[in-house]
Amino acid sequence: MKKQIYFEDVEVGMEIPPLIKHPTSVQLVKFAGASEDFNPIHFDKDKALADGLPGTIVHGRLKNAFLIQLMTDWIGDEGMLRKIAIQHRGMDLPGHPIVCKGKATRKYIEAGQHLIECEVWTENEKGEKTAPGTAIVSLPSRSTSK
Amino acid sequence: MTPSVVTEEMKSWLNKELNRITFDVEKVLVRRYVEAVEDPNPRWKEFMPPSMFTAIFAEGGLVQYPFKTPPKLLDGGGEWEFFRPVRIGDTLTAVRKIIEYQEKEGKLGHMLFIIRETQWTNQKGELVAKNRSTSIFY
Repeated sequence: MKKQIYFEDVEVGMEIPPLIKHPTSVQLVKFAGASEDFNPIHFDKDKALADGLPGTIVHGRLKNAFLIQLMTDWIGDEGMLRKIAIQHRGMDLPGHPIVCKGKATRKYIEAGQHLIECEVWTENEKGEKTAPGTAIVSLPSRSTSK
Repeated sequence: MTPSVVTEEMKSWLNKELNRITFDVEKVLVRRYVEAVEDPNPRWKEFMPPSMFTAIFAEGGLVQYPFKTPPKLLDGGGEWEFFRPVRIGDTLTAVRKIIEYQEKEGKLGHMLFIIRETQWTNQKGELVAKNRSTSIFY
């Protein structure tokens, strides 16, 4: 059982433990099925090239899922993801690792909720942020939990 | 400057219900999803992972529009707010609207941005999540 993180454990500037994902063509096909996103640019190389893309590309929504996993892994069962906003800036190709990273940027209490605002992003092998975003999570507090 | 591709018919769809679906959050649906995204968190045996809101209902891709759009499509991203957890066995209803059109010139040529809003409620009528997404057509 993973140790629960509490509001008091987080400081502004703290990094979230990174999550490394290895998307493959097979994963893109599975995700296309699971998400009903059958845009052929994710599995048909000819179509992707004809559309002016460098090849089949990783679904932006799959990168969202990776970033959301980064957060849900970090906040544990008692934390809750409240908000996430993600921009798809750069394309990622299957066969190349994607590193999901984040850090706490703000810590505050609002309407009784102990909230942490974070900057999150996916990074490719060149260190480019292909999907940057922001997230807000609520965490349990040692002062209010039993 | 390319003339606008936003027609009067497209404008007439602003802020109207574009489509709606109701579905059960079935165990198999969630299992297939978590296998696809490779997220082994045991919590997803009981709850729906929040990232499913960003994926299911063709959220990222081929949303059906009642008008013709430029042929090529990219997903510009979006933002989601989550109000309460969803359990396996819940029933969700999603209602989607178009809230804005934008047009820009970019490296892919003339681009049409369709900004949509989707709201999700559960079987008790409680709002569970809200989303705003941008699709880029070119």
